Amino acid sequence: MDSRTIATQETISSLPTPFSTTAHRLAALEAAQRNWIPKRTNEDWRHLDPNAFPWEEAHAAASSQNHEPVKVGFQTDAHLPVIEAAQLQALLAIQEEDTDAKFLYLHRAMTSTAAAYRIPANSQRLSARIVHGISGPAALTTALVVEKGASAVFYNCWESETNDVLPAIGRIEIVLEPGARLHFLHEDKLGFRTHLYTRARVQIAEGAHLDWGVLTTGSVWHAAKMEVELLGSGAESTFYGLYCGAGKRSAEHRTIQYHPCARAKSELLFKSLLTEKSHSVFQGMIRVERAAQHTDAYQACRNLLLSPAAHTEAIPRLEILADDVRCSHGATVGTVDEDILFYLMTRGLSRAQATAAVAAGFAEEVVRRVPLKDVADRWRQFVEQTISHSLT
Amino acid sequence: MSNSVSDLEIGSYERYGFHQPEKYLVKMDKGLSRHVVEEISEYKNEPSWMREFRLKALDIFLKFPMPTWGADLSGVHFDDIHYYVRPTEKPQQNWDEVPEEIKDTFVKLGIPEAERKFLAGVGAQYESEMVYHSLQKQWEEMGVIFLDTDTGLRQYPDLFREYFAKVVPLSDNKLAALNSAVWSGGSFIYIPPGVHVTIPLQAYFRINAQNMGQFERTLIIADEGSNVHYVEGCTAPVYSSDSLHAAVVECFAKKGARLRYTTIQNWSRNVYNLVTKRAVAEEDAIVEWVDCNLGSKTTMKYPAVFLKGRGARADILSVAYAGSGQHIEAGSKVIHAAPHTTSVIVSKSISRGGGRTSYRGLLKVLAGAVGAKSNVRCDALLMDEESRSDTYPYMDVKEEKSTLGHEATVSKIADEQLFYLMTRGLSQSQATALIVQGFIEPVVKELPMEYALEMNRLIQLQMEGSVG
Repeated sequence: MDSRTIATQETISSLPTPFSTTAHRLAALEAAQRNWIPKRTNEDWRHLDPNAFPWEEAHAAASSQNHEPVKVGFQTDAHLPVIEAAQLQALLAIQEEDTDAKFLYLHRAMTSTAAAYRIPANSQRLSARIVHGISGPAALTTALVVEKGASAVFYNCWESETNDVLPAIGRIEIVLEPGARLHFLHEDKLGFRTHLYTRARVQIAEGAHLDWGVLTTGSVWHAAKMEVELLGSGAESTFYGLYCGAGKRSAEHRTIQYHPCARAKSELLFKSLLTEKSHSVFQGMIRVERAAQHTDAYQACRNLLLSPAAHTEAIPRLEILADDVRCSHGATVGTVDEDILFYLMTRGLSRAQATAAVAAGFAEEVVRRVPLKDVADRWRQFVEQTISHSLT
Repeated sequence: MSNSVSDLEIGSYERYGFHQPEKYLVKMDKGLSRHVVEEISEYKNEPSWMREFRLKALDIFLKFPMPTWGADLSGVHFDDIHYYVRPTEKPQQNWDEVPEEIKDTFVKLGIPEAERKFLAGVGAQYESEMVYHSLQKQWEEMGVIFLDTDTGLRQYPDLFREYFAKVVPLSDNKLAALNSAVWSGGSFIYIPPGVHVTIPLQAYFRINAQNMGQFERTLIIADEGSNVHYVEGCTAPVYSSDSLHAAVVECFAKKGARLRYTTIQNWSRNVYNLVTKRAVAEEDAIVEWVDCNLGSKTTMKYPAVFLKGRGARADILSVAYAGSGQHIEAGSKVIHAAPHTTSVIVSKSISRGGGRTSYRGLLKVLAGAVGAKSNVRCDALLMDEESRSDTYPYMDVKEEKSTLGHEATVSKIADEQLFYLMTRGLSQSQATALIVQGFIEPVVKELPMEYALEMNRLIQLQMEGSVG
């Protein structure tokens, strides 16, 4: 493959006009100050403490002009045009009544770079990788518009070079035009003292198909709201996620499968592997509007506890207003089955090896869906590292 | 097909003016105040601790905000409610004024004539005193106490005080606090150690029946190794002019006891039914809630079991039916607080004609509850495109060595199933009713036989109106 790295810093760090102006930034800062920190009484924030986010550092970073730039490495098969300012602005719009508006305005005020690309119509099997590296409080932005009939694999990674206490706020906005296909892979592996808030949304038009893989590791505090909107007949989405919890990490993943239109399909599998004192919250919602007849929606959440101090909360939800639909969800929580361990131990494995094998198998259901071999291998490494925490 | 189904629908009760407010000759003023609470306590001639308890509850009630989650409760107006009506002054309604359609429903459900009057609010009491008395004698010989709660407090003050408000404390929630302040009626049951009560204790066996009160308070204590089944409610529609029902039920299953509590709720469609039900299960005890919710405008009810002793078990089975204008939020709560505790939750819901059913559940495993096992199954059936079904379960696990599973599905009746039955000669409504009966069968089979029969007939009646 003639993959080539095209110049990165210039193309990415120069934001389109409305974003780069001081007035824009100050207005966002003012809005961030005006909005409250989400209250714990709010249903969305009952399980993960919003006050644990380093608000002061985030405000300080948003107020100062010169924060550490986000370094971006970009590799792609072909030149990708950037998304025009007006569309990007529409994608990153903030609803005034949004519970998490404070995060989103801070994100806007801190934004200095944005990776915002179009994948041209009818491109076939385009492959692109982008890595954002942060070294201070940061706003991370990835926006993609996959044009009609295009197909692509896009790998997006957020990582940091420091283990300082850092606030980071990320936004992912993806649009799939009719008939587009995208396999989007996302890795969160920021430093272990990073506090990360992520808002991600994919809008899927008729006949378009999304595969979305997510690996969460790193960040001591992580709140992610991830939404797929199936906006046309024949739209399909498959989401698979894996959270590797270790140390005192807390992560909340809120997913929304939103079905306003008929004859769309969505599937979701989220797995948490929890060791030490880690904490996982999964809140999954399937919402099927009245018009969305013939919806097929599924959601599964599986939790494997490998430590007596691990804590998991699973809240799968269904809101169904149409009658001719197939919607179901399942959630399970458990530890490694003693019978299976016993079986493996009779074959000569130590208890630790047997546990590691079962846990790796648990994660494999997610990892094997990753289409890029090197990425899949790296995910396996993360899984192994996580498991090793529980066996020492 | 007859129109009899429509009498189960919203509007008919109001249309027929099935109440006679002018017959309230003596009543307390509407609204809640310290004075009202004191007067209730004085009228009942209660010990001072109960009076203090009520007043404290009132303070808490006034301080607490209304729940903002779940169903829409904006139609509840606390100032517009009579908090106490003396039982002897309860309105007597005239059988002639009971709408034909309701009478017709009773006939179709196969309810005996004596009971029909009782259910329609006409008879002051269930006219089967002889049956009741012979049963009561048997129970007395076994040492079983089965009284209304007010009498229970008078006759067994120490036993009462030991358990009262121990699982549902004053400050639990706004509506439990309201109940604590103004409670009246309900059942007080004590089963001595080792006693097995073979015939279900039924609320409407009680002669001085205050059993359909607005703010009833039920307290059941199943002592070690005992076995009891309590049944309240009935399948026939029960008319009530009260717009709010806030009951509290507390159950205690001691070591090795088995306690089953069956509710069949079919309030008229003007009622907000907001009930707090909770049980404690000690070592090896089994608590079963069987909960059928058919009526009311809005129901919010989450029967709870606190599995406190090793090996305790909770079974919660529920059926929710929401027709036009109804929102039924039924759910369950189980807290696994001891090793090797198990729970099974089965919830079946049916929404039709724009009705909305919601399942809201909590499953909590505390650290140390080694070997806890739980399985939750929620199935929802949507009968038409106006209706809605929601599922909001919550699992919170702090114990590694536990196994939990939750599964939920939402679907409509499969066309193939209907088609198959219709090729065998069933009408569409018969086929629908049969499938729905099959759908709720896992719960209905746990009901006492006469209730199960009535329940199935009721489903048939409801389904006749649903198609064609």
